[in-house]
Amino acid sequence: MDVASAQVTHSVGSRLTRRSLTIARRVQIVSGAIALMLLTSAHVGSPDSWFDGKAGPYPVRVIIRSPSVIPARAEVSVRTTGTGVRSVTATARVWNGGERGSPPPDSLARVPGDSALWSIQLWIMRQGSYAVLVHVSGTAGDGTAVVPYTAVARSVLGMNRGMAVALAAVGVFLLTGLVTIAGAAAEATRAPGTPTDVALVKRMWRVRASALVVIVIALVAGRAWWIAEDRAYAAALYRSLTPVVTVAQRADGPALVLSVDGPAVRQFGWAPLVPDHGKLMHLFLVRENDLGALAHLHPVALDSLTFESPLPPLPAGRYHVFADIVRESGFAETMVAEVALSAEQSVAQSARATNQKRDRDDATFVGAMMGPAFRFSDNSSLTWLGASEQHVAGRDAALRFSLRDANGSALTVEPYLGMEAHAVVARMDGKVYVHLHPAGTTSMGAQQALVMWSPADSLRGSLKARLEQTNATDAMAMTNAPLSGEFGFPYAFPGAGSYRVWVQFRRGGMVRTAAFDVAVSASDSRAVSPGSASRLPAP
Amino acid sequence: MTATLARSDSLAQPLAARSVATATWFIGVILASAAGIANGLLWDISWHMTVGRDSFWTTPHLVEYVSGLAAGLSCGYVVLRATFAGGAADHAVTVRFWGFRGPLGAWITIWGTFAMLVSAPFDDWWHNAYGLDVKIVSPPHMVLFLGMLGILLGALTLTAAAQNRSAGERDAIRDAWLYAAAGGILFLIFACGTLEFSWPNEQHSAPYYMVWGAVFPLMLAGYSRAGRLRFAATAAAALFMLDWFIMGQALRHVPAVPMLAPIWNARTYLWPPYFPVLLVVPALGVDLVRHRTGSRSPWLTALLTGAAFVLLLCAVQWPMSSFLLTDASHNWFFNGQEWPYTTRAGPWQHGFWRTERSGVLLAPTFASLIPGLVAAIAAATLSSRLGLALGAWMSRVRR
Repeated sequence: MDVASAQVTHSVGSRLTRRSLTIARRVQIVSGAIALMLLTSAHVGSPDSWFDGKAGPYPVRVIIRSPSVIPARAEVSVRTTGTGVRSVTATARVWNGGERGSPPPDSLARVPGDSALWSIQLWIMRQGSYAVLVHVSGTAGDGTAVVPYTAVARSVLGMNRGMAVALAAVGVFLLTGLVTIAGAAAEATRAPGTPTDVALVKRMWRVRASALVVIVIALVAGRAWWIAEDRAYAAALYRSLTPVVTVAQRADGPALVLSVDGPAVRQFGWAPLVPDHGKLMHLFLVRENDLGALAHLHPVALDSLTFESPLPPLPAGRYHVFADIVRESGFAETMVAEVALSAEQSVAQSARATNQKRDRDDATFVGAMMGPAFRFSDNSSLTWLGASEQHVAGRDAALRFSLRDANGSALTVEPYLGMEAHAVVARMDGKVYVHLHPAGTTSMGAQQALVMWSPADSLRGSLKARLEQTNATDAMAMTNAPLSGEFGFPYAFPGAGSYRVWVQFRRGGMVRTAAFDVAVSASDSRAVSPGSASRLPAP
Repeated sequence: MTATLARSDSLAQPLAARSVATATWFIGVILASAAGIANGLLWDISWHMTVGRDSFWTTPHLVEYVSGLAAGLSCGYVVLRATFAGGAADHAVTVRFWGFRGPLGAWITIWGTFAMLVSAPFDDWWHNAYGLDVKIVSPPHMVLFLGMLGILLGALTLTAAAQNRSAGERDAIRDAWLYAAAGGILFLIFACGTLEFSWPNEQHSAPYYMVWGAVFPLMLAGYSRAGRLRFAATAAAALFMLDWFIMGQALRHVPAVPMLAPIWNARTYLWPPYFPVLLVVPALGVDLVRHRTGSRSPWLTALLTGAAFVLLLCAVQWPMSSFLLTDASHNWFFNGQEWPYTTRAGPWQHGFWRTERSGVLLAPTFASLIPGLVAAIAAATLSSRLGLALGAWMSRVRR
């Protein structure tokens, strides 16, 4: 692999408009009152879960490699950097299974050659939301991290040619054997010692022919059965909900309306949504083809299936829509859609944007290329520290950043929805999208739901009510103390291609967005196997 | 049970006795392997219902595969001996297969062992493509089942040939009982294969009688026709019930806990199969019908056999399943109300269902079952007719 800096290109982002600055300032005013933690699990084409957190006194990084079929085993890697760690166990608990519904914990094995890395394969038997409980014991005591994990079946494995040829060859061998046995069955009725005669030979051929007919019929029936099984499995695969997104004219300007409907809702049911850091939905608009524009919106629910947000000032064009939601069960998912913004809508919106009541955490960015350091209007810059590293699919993406002023001195940031920063990663073809935070890819709303669930929550909506109450109480206690301007996001790019990474944080009361482009090369094998300790970054 | 020899026809017994293909050890190994496979399968099902986690190395899997290999290797040895070191005696009691010589049962067994081995990579691919086992009945499991069945049919054929050769001789009664034992094992594996249709909760509904009517009369009628015991089908059914009952007693004494989430029923010991279906009653009916109809039209015999089977099965299992749905049956003897770890407790456990995957049908009347029973009798008639034909062939197998 060549030096990664050769593969990395960077973009210059345009500054937030003056209007946006005003909005961002408003965002800053209320943000401290809203969010407990800003963590969503939002994935398209990026199924693995990354989690940075603590199990009691021990810092842990947990990676759950998602199998593509369910039931299956999910590979769980845990890196602990605490001292005196004696053992690590893990349990996959179904969201409403409780302690009694969980199997005994599995002990993780140390990965040879790396005393801080542990791994295990956990059994996941059905699709849905799980709490993976990672328990660490050591000289500093015990601690447990609750890692949300959404298990979905995503694909059916095709049969490769070698396997198909081998199975077909063995099948022909077995069937030929069966026909031969049928012929021999005719001979077996002859009295011991009786020599073979012409009549017997003829009879054997007749029996063989009859057996062949029966076998062919059985094979045809077997094929039909296999096809039926395949279709039944395919029908149960998880599919992203595909809402309809339109632009509607409201009294104060155009609005983006998202309606969830169609067979998907009926197929998978619709459970109450719970807030993820204070919002029922985090919606991202990403301009198709060049990824040159991004909007991060928080639509409000008009009813349980319809959501609306004022349309932000964006250039005309076609946009990918990614809408992250978390259900009461902790099931976090991303709805996928497309929307076209006409030039008229775009112009009208730019003219009227200031009059609309926007969510104070919304942010918009229209940008172009820059270098490894993204410079803002106040001459401060955000530098991607890992820009020069090799970027290979499946390996640590080295998403570590540093905010400095014009003299190179470190700067702090203000909490943006409760944390240092968040990032959005998208591939140019729109097939990969993920919403990242310093604690990883997992949803904090899901984590909160999984921790708070109790057997009394058998009634739909009861857990949601308790979660909303807790969020409101926590929001009152939020502070706006500055946070470090050096932060990172645990993640690995899922495949080769050209990606754009947007990083959003707040400083000077303003939400700022920096954009970086990166070319990721294909991995030669499935990344971060338990044995490949060197590929696993430290938390 | 009283058993007497029905027929006797001595066939070149002195010559056959000198062949490796007729050695007692050989037939014993094959029969033991068949028993290991069938009982291992029931044990494996119990493992899935209790522990859940599957791997190649679970004890029931090892029992099944070791049994399969023992059967295949024994047959391979006999074939090689008969082919390359055999004399006139070996040629007399064997059949040709691609230039080799061996008893027919050995060839069927070897085929079964190959099919069992082939199913392993197929099943592994299936797990990767469609997920780990969630169903008993899937295409790769069907290949495995056919392999297991091959070994059981091999045992059946070997014991049939031994029985037929020794008719009228000193070992006649022993060989006839060995043949009945092979039959009991065969019934056991089919009872495992039809388990998804056979919960006590399903025994007031038509699918149960249709499935059992399609599967079991074939074997019972064939048994009654080919067995040298007077009540051959009854004897085999009794041995099946005894085996199933013993497995129920053994498994319930093995401590085990579920290892997969979600656990809705916290089991502490292996799931024991419920009290065996009272197959001995319909089997007795099958034997009696054959005794009465003698050599009359095989279709008439098949119709009467099918009707007797379905009606007698219903007569015993209708009340028996009602009892097994009560808590009174939840004891060491009947093993009623024993549920897998995935089961959420509810009133449905005490109700009758149409099928395992359908909703609860709490109290179907007997009248509602009558059209289903008619269909079951039709299926049982065809099954019996095929069984009679196969039984007639098997009664003549001597190699």
